[in-house]
Amino acid sequence: MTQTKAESNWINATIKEIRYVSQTMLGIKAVFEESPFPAFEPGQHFDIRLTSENGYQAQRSYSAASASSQNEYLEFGIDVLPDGEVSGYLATLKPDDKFEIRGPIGRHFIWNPGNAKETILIGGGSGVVPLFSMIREYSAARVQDKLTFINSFRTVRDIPWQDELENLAQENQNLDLYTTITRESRVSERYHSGRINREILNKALEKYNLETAAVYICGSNSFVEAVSQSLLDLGAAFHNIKTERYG
Amino acid sequence: MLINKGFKPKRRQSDTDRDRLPPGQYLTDDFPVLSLGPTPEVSKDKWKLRVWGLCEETSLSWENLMKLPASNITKDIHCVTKWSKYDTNWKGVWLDEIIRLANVDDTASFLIAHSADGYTTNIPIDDVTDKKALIAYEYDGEDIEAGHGGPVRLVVPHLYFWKSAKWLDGLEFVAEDQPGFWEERGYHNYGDPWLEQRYDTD
Repeated sequence: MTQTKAESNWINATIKEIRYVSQTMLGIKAVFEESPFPAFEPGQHFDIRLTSENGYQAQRSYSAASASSQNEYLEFGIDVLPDGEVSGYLATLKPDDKFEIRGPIGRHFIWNPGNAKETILIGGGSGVVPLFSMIREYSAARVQDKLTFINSFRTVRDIPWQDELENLAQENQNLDLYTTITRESRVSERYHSGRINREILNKALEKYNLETAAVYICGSNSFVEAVSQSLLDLGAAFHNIKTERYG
Repeated sequence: MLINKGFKPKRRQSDTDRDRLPPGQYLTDDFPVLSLGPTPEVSKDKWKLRVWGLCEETSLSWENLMKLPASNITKDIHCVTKWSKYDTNWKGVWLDEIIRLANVDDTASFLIAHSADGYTTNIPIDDVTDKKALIAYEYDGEDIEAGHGGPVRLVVPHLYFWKSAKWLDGLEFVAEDQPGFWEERGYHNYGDPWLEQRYDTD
């Protein structure tokens, strides 16, 4: 195998805690014993690389989920896919096991406290992971700016870090949550049901000025496409919408 | 280098893959979509390709583009997010045609490609001449879907695919290099997949 990349880009992460944070999402908290903590901004991602005993390597990108201002650990939210070469292996790891990372990567889909008076975060499924980093950072910074997190999951059991999220919203009246469930018909009244559409957005964002709000959308391509088109229809400004898509 | 005990490839790499798949990439049959914002609406009848910089300033309409000699290419493409796709088929006009039409000056060392959403990317002139870059308007025999950059996108298959600007609406020829959107945001300035030039520290 050709190995041209500077090996110094990769650092060892040691697992401090590993557990499922939703039905399919693995939360991995990593610490760095041999190198400095890799400082990042909310929304950025890291590459994780695995190397087999015979030298085969696989890399995938995963967004950071933890707040960027705390450097006790770096948390990833990793959707464990049925045939996932990398995610499937990560799911077998235990505390003190190691894996390689490099990053942070990408300086577009990033948000920092103070960036906007009004921020709208919209995520579908595992697309909520980078948005969690933003929400955690927003909560830690205790700014007065408004933030709404609109999120969509197939079932209630797919919502990661659910208790923490509800606690954060309860503590902060400027943080609004709007969760919708798409594949379960009878859900508790804490949740809405159906896919995110114009009506839902209109209702959830009635207190927001869509022409000036900063918007971050992350999820599957079809999700991002549908949501961003609906927001444009409702008057959001094209260049205030940042997207991150997968698959 | 850390060895991950018990980690095994899910799919055995064939000998072809070993020669055909750049380091760190995996093969996909899908055609994932990645972009920095919403998909801009660009219609064929309103589309214009502006050409400026070290050349005779000109502008092409969809009709003008259709009248230029077309070529078909089948190439493997490699995205910096690690997927590769074999045998993608594109129809379009070689960038050499535009360079000839606009009489691009010998002092032009870089092309800055511009997109309808404000995106830009920089490519050395030697990487867009001699049939290395296509101004594509068909994918697999059909119009290019908006999500994939239609109606017209750049296709420079030998570099990571972020260099293949979607919704192409401007070609600027310059003497000095000017990093584009991703090149200013942590990605490699050149982007050779075989040298794994993903990020600015590679």
